[in-house]
Amino acid sequence: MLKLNDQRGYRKFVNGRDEALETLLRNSRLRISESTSEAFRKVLEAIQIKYNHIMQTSSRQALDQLEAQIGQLLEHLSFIIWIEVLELRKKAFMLAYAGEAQAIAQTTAKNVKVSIPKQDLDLKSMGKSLSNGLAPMKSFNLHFNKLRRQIISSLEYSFAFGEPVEKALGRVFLCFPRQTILPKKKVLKTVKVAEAKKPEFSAFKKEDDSVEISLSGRSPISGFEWDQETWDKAIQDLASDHVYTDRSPEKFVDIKNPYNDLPMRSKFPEDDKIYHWEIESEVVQDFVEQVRSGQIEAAKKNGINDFVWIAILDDRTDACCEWRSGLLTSEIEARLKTDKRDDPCQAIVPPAHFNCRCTLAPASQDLEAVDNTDSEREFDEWLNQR
Amino acid sequence: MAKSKVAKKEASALQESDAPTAFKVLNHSKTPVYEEQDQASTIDSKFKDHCKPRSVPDLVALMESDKTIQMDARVFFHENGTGNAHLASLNRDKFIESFKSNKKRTFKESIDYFGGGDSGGNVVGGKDFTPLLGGPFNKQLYIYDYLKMHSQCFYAYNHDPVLHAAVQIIRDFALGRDWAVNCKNETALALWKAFEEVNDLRMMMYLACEELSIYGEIFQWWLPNNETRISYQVRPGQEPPKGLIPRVRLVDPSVIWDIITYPEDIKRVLYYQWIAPTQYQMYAATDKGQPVPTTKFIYQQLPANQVDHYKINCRSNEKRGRSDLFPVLGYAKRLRDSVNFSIIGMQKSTAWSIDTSIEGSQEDVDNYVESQKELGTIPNPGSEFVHTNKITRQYLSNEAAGRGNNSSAFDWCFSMICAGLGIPQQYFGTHLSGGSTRASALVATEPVVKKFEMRRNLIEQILNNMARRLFKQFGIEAEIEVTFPELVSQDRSTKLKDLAMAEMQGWISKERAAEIAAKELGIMDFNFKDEQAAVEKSEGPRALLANPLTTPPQIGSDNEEQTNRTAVSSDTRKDVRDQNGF
Repeated sequence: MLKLNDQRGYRKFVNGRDEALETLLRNSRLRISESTSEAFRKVLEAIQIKYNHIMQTSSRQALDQLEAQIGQLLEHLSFIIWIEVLELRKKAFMLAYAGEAQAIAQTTAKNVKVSIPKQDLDLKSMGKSLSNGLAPMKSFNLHFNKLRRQIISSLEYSFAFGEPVEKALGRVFLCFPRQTILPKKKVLKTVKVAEAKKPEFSAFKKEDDSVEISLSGRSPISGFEWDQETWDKAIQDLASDHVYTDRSPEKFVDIKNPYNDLPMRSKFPEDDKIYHWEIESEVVQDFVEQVRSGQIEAAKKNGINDFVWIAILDDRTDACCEWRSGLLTSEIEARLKTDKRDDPCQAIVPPAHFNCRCTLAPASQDLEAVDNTDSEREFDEWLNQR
Repeated sequence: MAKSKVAKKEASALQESDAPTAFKVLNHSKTPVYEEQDQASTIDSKFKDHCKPRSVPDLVALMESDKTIQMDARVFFHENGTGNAHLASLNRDKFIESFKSNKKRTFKESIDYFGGGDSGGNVVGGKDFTPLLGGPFNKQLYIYDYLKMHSQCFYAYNHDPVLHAAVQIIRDFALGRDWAVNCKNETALALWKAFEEVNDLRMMMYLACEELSIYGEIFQWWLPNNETRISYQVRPGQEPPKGLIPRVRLVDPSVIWDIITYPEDIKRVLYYQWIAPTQYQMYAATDKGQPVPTTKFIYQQLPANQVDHYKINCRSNEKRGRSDLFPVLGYAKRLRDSVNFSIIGMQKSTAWSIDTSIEGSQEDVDNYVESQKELGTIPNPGSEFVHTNKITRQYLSNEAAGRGNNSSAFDWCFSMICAGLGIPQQYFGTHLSGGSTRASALVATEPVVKKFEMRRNLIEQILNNMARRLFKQFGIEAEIEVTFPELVSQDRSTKLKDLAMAEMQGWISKERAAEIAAKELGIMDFNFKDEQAAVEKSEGPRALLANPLTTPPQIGSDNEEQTNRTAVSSDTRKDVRDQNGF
């Protein structure tokens, strides 16, 4: 039984791929954060404009109108996030799939097949639910509805106590999720992407939207169906180091802390920030699921149906991941039918839960490892091949 | 006709000047002794403005100024030396003669009598007398006086509502809701918890705090030889069980008849002399096959190193402590009296009578009386009286008695008690407690907070001393940290705002701000890291992973064994190390 994670070349390649994938995720998270900040700023501005009028007239109708306006802003934000998630899904799946295929190819000298037609990719990305079982838009809207209700409740409180607008804005601001720093990763080796934005594959066009590509001389890929548009987007995203623009509302709107009358200021003015709330968790979880899904599909396409579960074992490891660590998915499946029948987590492949750090690697009796130390390439080298 | 008034002299005492023991005299004259208005001119000018004599000399002067005033006084004499007491009846002349004839005898008003026996003055056992040749160690309560105080304070705690409340107020403020004990040494903390449990320390400190107030001192006896029960001359086989953790018991201070020290230094204690009969039990029992006596007389000396003695309200030269109630016992008696007299006055003021005039002969009067007898003393509501115009009935109320309902005595006594105890009137919840503003209540609170802080410090010291002794016994070097809840809550909102500002400005860390805030909110078991973890968990969104695909194992994991079992091979780890230059 050959487990690919035992192969040094596989691990190095996959590590490079994962870092590239995380770059995609990071850029998406920052874009979502910017859009969220922008939306929150607009919410505060809308309140700022209408607050005094509502205070003077005590008009419930005006408050309802304000609530509707806030609802529209948040709905729009929900849509923006959904689009970003959709794009991230496609890019993550594609890069994970292609990277896994190449990793298998160069580790085992096996002719691998790759099939990522555009239609399939679109359908899979559009139709997939989040890990909570809800459609993404529905899930996001639930969070935004909750936020909208909190905003209106805090405004009603401010009206009831006749607070000035700065304090009312402060109260609304405290309803928003808090921001936290997204630290820049200290990577082993930065994945560099050439200006050409796509690797030069020795490929031939099969259809308009798919190509068959040979990724390397030693491991030609056959039957390659390819969504070039998504690939281009992924490469473009990798090539551009996204510069975060801080659009936090406290920078633009005068807000006072309702509890101490001090102006609200950003705690991390110079850093890349994301919002610490459920939507952020769901986006990351969804991304990880896409990556694992890409890995699995790439392997299965090439006849590898078993995988080894690789957990990171430390004092933060969940019990459900701990016992799965090192087992094949077939073994996990068997145990879930026997001694682990009552395990609350029934996952066969990672991620088993939110923030699951487990990964997987293909494993098969039919595979043979080859010594290709001289010719094996790292991920960025493969990505930039011409 | 001028209205006469009966002058009632309450009580006075006759005392020989060289006799330290006072005695009571009850002087009750029943005859009219002087005219209040009409004969004012005949009274000495000293009494023109205030006709009521307020002391024995005043009384004598009054009688001398007005020959018509008569007296029928019954006087208790108490002879010095023999201690014999007898009752004598003195008329006006004898009373004046007794007052003047023997210069060694003086009358003394026993107005400080507070129901505790035959003592006079506002101190237990007479004057705090310090003979020059006696030295400073005589400047304290002798054992009889001490026991008298003990008895009277015990009585006051149980029978006087105000003093009972005072003791409980002091206890409640000193102990607060409860105290928390922490210790950096976990072994020591576990030992302390066990010590607390076997000794029922919470209840012991609850009682100790009260007894400290009532008796003025407490004795904590660390039972010797690892014994878990107090034992005295038990039969073989009836020895109490032994335990690893030492047992501490409170010993009633009244059984400690003497604290035996070197004469020149009261702090160099040798023994505590315990003399007391035990309880008398009606029924006997056997234990381990042998009878257990129904009673014993304990006569033993507790070695000084087995006893922790804490005393309050005493000076450096005093061996024994004094009760918190000590200075106010007399006023407590007066306060109770004032309440009783007021109630009697009110009772009298509600009395009424019927004045009936009958125009007719004695026979008519007798007939009327006979007819009324059938109705009883108090006519039922709705009773109908049928009579001719010859009979006139008029209901009379007791107007004179109504004026006796004067509460100024209560106010004065109560003020004196509050001053003596150092507790504001507002704390007692009487009819004098209301009417103050928040500002005045706060001002009144300031001194009493200091008082309660002092008592709390003593409680803390007792706990610390116990911990030191316990840890020393087990060879552990540790100190406990005792935390009490805040005595008086300040304006918490303002304080928390200041705290938020300080944290926001970067003057203090978030952790420090959180810890201070937790104390303000009365959270005793606050741990910043645990709390943050709980907040993260409860906030809905999980802790965010910056790099969900390549997050390395946690460095410095507590569980090395687990970390070693990771599926990430050692080769990879080596690569990571090499490339990062670790």
